[in-house]
Amino acid sequence: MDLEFIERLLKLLSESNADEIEIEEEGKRVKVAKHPAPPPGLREVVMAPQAPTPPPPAAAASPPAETPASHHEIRSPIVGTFYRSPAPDSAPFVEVGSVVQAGAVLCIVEAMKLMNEIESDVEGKIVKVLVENGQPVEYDQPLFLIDKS
Amino acid sequence: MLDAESLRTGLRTKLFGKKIYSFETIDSTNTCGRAVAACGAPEGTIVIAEEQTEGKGRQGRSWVANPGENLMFSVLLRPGLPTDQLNLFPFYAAVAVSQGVERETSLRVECKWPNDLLLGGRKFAGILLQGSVDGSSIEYLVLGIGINVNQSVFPPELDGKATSLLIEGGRRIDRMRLLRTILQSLEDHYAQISRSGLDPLLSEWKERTPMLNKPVSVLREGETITGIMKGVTRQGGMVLAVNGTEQILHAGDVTILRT
Repeated sequence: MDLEFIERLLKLLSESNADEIEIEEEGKRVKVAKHPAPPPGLREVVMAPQAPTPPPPAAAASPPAETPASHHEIRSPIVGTFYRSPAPDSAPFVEVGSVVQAGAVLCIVEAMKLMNEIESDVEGKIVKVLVENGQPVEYDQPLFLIDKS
Repeated sequence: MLDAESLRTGLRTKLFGKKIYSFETIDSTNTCGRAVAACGAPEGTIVIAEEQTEGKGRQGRSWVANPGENLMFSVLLRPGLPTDQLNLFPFYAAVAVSQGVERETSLRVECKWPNDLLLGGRKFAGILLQGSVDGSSIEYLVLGIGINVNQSVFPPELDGKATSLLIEGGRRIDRMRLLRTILQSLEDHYAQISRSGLDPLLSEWKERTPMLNKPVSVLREGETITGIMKGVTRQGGMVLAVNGTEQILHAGDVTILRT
């Protein structure tokens, strides 16, 4: 079981309608799975040794280190000012620790009286609010981190 | 009463106003516009009302207007553009409504940042847009437009700040005719967005603003910033020179200071 083998598995998976392929061989198991909503080219590769073995080959790519894989970023679709509540005297839409459903309003980004309510596209728990209320945000700037697990 | 049938009579648009929801009283035409948008209402759908009980302004504030004398309506757009084009729409709405009003009056409309329309330095119309995005594209936009048409008296707290077409032009305006003309202007400019993009709208907005190189104060987050208005960015941000340093603001309440 080597890198080439895994690459072949990935190719097979991408060309098939299957969501995942799992193969067991000589006490080692490899599972390749399509992400539920895959960004282009992104595949999850999990290698799970069944018996004690030497460290897994480097091909068993680990997710990027910056944020845990279960943390989802909500980004700003527009340049504007970030508001956590609908009006200055009302409560924020969400706080750290709030559990949100997909479609829940998280904040407003305003530009020239164009109000954009930013909704969560996942279900999960708010782990971080990345921008202060009333601060300017750029296009595509991360606003919230949501733990999907 | 601004009923849908009489509005349709004489409407020469192809898209805007093909579907009309008309109300005597409603919470807010924008709230209704967003609700029908979420249910799949077609582009160009409009919502009009004689009276709004929860008319909206910035920051949860209300828009108050006498029933029977003014225009309050919302227009649903589905431009199908990437979200980075969203910032173009406040300019589009301001320019199209200004031209529509001018066609029906002999008045010159000015544009004040963030998105008010002025006559003789006083506000007679406000535009509030609400957007919904779907991934990387615009799902829909609701343009909420409130225009003081035939109102002759305003509450004392708006003294010197609010005005109407009647006060400025000295004659009553046929609201239905004005609405048709504005819808036509909105439709004509909308058709040009895909061809010409932001630039013509931005330059016309700049020609219409009385703010350039004037001292203004901006209230935001309980803090007042005073500076010289130097222009607007392509994203709709106001460029403000404060003690020689330029700042870009995207939201706030602006007063043009008299010099």
